[in-house]
Amino acid sequence: MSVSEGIRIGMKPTTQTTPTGVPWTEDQVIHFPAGLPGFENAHKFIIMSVPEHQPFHWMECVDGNSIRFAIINPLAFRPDYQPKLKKEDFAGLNIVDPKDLLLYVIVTLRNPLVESTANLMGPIFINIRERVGKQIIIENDAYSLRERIIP
Amino acid sequence: MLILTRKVGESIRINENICITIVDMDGKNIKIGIEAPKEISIHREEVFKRIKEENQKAAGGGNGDLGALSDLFKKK
Repeated sequence: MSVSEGIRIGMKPTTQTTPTGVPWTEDQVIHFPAGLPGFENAHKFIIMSVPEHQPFHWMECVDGNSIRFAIINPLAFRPDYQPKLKKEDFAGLNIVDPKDLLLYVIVTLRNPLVESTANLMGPIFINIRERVGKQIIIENDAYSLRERIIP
Repeated sequence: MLILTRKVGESIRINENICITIVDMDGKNIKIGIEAPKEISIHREEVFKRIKEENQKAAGGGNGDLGALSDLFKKK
């Protein structure tokens, strides 16, 4: 073992803070190699879950882009959500065990809040074991771009 | 923009690994076949644009009150 490896193994991950002031460490990061449509340079995100926000979470960018998205597991309000996806859609997620897959959709907060919608056409899939994610675009019209969350 | 004229059945190759073929033509509709590595994502432009615009709108809500939305959700 080289000296540098010895140091790396002994080191705790450095705590940093997100643009909104939430502490995070590198081992929490989820990598989006392609970014998201509209934010192609945003590659590193942290998901922040607090009990008062359930079933919503923040997904905040931590690589210099000061953006965050409210997200929700669509099954929380659309238990029938089951987009038709092809094997190629999951390319890059390196899925070995389907149990490692997390599913979210992005929420657009609106004024008034009760009219907030979720984007069911662009689900976000995360392989939590590999900590890699991507937004998959559903080409057919089966699901809405702006689905009311609270009917 | 590079503009090329092709007949049905003819193709355009981009790098070594992307091939675009004009499969069929029917009036104003043109059927295009695309062969590309699976890590290349291919979308209809208007669908991609809609997702992009909605993402940008959603990112603008980053100061919103998720706690209040959560309360509304639980009350529904």
